Amino acid sequence: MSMRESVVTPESWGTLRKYTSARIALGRAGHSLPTAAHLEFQLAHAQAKDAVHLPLDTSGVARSIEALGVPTLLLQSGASDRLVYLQRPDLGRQLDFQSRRTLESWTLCHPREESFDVAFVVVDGLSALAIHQNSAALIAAMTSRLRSDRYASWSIAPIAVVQQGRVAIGDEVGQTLKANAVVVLIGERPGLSSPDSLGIYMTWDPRVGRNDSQRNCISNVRSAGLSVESAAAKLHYLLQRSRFLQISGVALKDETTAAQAVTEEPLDDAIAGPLSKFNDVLP
Amino acid sequence: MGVPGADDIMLNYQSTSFHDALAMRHIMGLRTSPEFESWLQAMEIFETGSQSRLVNKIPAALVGRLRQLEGQ
Repeated sequence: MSMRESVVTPESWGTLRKYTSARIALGRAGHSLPTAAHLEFQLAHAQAKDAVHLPLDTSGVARSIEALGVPTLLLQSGASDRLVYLQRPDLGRQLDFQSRRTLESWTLCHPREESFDVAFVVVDGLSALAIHQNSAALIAAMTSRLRSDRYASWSIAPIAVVQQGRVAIGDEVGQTLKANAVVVLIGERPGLSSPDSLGIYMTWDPRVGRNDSQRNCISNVRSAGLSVESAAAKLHYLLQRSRFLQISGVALKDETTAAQAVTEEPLDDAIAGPLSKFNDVLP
Repeated sequence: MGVPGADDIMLNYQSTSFHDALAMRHIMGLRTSPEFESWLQAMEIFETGSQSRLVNKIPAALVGRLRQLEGQ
């Protein structure tokens, strides 16, 4: 057999691939993608589609959250199944009738003088996989941080686990449970290299009709992205600032540094620093 | 639009790739705008005088930076 020249021209700067999981330096066959790169793309696309259609294991998620000593409430959006969910974003932002009754009867059975400081809402969004892999660890990190917060005590509402939900559904849950702030943990739209990415949306004074400029977002929480520990540190900081200033969204800036964001300890300096700066400019 | 490998890794979108643009131009017999073509040749991405042939070695502008990055 004679040696045949490969039809694939490798990229001469392929060494840069080790710095990113982006699809760079793939080489070429003629002007097109080599077959191997094309097949990898198709596999990643199929995995992303599977992630969108994977049903949320609500009882499994609820069990792992309750193991942390926090009660849960199982809820459902107005979208009855995945097909309706994908076609009707509006229904994903509101609770169905039964879930409203569940929430209302819970508040009737548990009357409180004061609002909760924070409510967590775990939502499948576009990737149940992200919730299966990251939500319980994040709730664990947050409850531990909030319980040991030296600056303030935090009352935490029962944790809502919502099927077929979108970000804004947290407004109705937070409002009904009477929480001062709501934190939505939601599966993000799966990318071709990140089917398991969780997003966090924090909103001060949740009310139905809040818009996205009134929320703070922490994105890309997953094993190959932002770690649960770093995300919890950022969220803890944002919650403290939000509670102190009674705002969220574009008016509330993340002033933590990368070094502060990876510490396990509460962000004493991060809180004291920006707060004293803020106080200086207040009238 | 050009996104490496059609995968917008930051926004989780799929889009058209650099490969797609090259292949479509080739199939349709089209050229880039003249100023872009000159730039591609000056940057040693296209071969000098060529409308679509890609250079197979690392462009001079990139060699120094790659060495710097790899600590050589």
